[in-house]
Amino acid sequence: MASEYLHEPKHLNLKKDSDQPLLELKSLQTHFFSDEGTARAVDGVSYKILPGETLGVVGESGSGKSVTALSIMQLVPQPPGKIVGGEILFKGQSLLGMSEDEMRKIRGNEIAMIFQEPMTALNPVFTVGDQIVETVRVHRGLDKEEARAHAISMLEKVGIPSPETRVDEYPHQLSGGMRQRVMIAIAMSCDPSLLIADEPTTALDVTIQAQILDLIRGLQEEEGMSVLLITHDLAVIAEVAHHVAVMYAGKVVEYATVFELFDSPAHPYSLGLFRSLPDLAGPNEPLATIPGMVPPATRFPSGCRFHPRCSIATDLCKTDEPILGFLNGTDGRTVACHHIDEAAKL
Amino acid sequence: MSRSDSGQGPAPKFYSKDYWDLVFEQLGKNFLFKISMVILALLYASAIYAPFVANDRPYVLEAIDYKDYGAATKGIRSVCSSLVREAEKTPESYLESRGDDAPATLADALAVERQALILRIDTMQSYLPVAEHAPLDGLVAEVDKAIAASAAGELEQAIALAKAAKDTASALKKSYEAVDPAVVLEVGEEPDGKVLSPIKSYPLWETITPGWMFLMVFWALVLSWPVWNRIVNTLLLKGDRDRIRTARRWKLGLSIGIPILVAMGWFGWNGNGESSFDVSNFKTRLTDGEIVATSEPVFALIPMGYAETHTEEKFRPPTWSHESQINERGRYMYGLRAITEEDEAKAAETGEFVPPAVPVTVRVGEPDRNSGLRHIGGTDELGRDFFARLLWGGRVSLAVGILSAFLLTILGVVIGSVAGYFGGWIDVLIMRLIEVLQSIPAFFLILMVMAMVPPTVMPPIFAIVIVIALIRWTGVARLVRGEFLRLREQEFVLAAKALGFSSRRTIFKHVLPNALSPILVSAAFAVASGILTESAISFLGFGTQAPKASWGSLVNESQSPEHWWIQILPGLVIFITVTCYNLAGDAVRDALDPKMKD
Repeated sequence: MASEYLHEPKHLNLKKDSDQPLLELKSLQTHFFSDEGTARAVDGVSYKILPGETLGVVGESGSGKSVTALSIMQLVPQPPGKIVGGEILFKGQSLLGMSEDEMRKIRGNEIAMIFQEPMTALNPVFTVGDQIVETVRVHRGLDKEEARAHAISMLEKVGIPSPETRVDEYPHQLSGGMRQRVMIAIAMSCDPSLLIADEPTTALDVTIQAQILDLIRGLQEEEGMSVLLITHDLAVIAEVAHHVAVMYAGKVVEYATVFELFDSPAHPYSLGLFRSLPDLAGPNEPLATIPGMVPPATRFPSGCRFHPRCSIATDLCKTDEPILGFLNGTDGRTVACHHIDEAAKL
Repeated sequence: MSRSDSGQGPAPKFYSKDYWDLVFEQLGKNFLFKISMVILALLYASAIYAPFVANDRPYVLEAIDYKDYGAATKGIRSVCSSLVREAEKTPESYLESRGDDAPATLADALAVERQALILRIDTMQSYLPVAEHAPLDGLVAEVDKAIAASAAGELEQAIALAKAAKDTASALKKSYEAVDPAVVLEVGEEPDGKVLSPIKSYPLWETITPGWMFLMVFWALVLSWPVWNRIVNTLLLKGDRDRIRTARRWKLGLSIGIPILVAMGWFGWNGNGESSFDVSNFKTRLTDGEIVATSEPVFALIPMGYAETHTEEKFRPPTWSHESQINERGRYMYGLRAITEEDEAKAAETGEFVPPAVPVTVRVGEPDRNSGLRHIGGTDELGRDFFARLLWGGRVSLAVGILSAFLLTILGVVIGSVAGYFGGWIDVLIMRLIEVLQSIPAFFLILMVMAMVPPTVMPPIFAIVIVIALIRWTGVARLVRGEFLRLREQEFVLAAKALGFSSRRTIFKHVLPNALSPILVSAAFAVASGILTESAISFLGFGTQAPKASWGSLVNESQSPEHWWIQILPGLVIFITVTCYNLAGDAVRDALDPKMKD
């Protein structure tokens, strides 16, 4: 599973050092060992994120998106989880070989993470200011006054009104959108080069979602950081991502630029995802669905993992696992399917 | 409280309420909590200030101790006599005849005699006007000469000088005899002897140790907190919320710092204090005329020592009760136990035995025989004032409650958080240990341990505290473990890790404060249960040993329903304290919840 399938996205105006990927996953495997068997939650995921770009990772629940993110941070609960194979390269360094102390210097400082539920991801007994202050004091060693000033400026940066007073408020005194802004402020407080956003808008209502996405995009342009955006919402992907990795059952099934994917999804699964989007302009028809469910990670089917739900599956799909291959006539777009031509006709 | 919205400043500042604002506001709304806190504060005040409320030593005593003076006057002659005996010896002959516990050398022996003389003369001089001091100082000078001669080896001269000193002492003893105060007052003419002047002393204060001084000042600050806090906030901080917020730490520091300073000052002034509040004989000596007070001595409100016995008043009901009326001969006049004079007469006819009545002696400083204030809590089997014992007993009960809760909470939190955070085999091991401990009935385990620890090895009070803590920590540990298991799965713990915080920082700074409110609440309940446990153990006789008392051991003073006050009064204070703790714990649980609505 070499990384040569990835090419530099041409439509992006990226920084000079962009030929060096910021983060690169090479057939990462994270398994969970339990009494019911081994759950191969992440089973050979490879993708890379260039400096300054946003990679959207999309997929159903249970497809391994979040576990991949936790694997990057090495926060997979251990036991039962374990990274059993592959490589994670961050700025050319292998994260998997690092000690816990070295890893702690990366977390929050180089790679920051924001979570799905701003309600529970903030510590309820500290003021939002204290939570930012603590982070910058741990990583940057600022003194109390500097850290507080920094906290206020961060809150201002994420668009919280009257940050001087809000800095002393507790999470329960803020609305959901405000809390997500605070989460972003905490994550951004040490000026990370990679922000992992694990479904940052799922818990928010639609208008707030748009504001938060605008904020993430704006901050990204301002700071030049990379974003790994995990979501199951294609609309969010369309909004902010440059590249998209579609994940299914612990594997990447399609990797493309956002335009390519939205113009012509190549994998039957990607296609299914787009089919199941409601079409407001089209005729009033029942919404298309992908039949069946994502198989449990302990019992993935043989061959192509999507074959039980795929309308064009053949015997080949049941026995042979397709590898990510370049799509003809594209620039670095990869798809893992035996029947790309048939899929294109769907 | 008052938000400055009068618009004096450039822009009216908006203040968000912080966590503690919300907690206090919430608690302030809870009527039961406020009542409980007031009652508890007063109960602790009664325990802390017990020496000032119930004590048989006077606060101030301006008096002449005739017995002390008389002993000193007699003493100077006997000291000089023994000096003569010592002066007859050479250092060698002294060593030959030296007893086992006598001073090592002749010089030492002489120094000891001199010291004894100085002590007696000091006592005498302290009662005498300065004009009368010179002859006494002259005696010391004579003795010094004799000692110097003895040291120089001039034996005969030393003997002569010592004998001269002895003669002087005899003369002084006669001429310095004190005048009987009655003679001075009644005859009104110049009497034969010395007229003594009184000395002012503070017998009660002298027994206060620096530790108690600290507690007393600290508690005074705590009780007056609503007053000075408001004054400081409005006058010094001008109602500025930001400054009030930052001043909190200062206020806390000062309320502990000031008592520490006072206690240190007290140590310099009074030394270590006597720390013992055992029975003093001031009242008896005043009554007997050994000490003559020149002005009314000031006694505490309850002028009874907690171990002071009056067998003639044994099992006397509270004196405000009708039943406790006693006649001049010491017989109860009404009530169940009253034996009237007719009864006695009838008993004399039939030959039945009637215990002799002893009249009640009312000593200086005590309320009258049948005053309602004499024994407001009644007396116990030895005639000890029961209210005084209740106050002093409260010190033991409340201290045991607080200390055991403190210890067991610390134990439980440490063990529980280790189990909850690390999980795995550590958790399994600790949980099985807890289950084993909990399967043994805690109370009987405590009783058994108490029965095995003799009071000589460890004072029962400390033993109870430690045993309760060692056996009762399991509940807190389970609670903390459960909280940790719940919190460990919360996203903010993952978020804290994702921000690169170490696991120690994550446990103690992020997880523990979230588990704090159940811990605090269980600590409040632990105080209540500690008090109950101590009471039960002391009731059964394994805890506090007489003459020390705790509320539990006081209930045990009598099981007869006739002596109702002995069961009801301590029972009532135990009930009130425990109820208040439970109510307060409940209110704190509600208020500490950070998700509460404002």
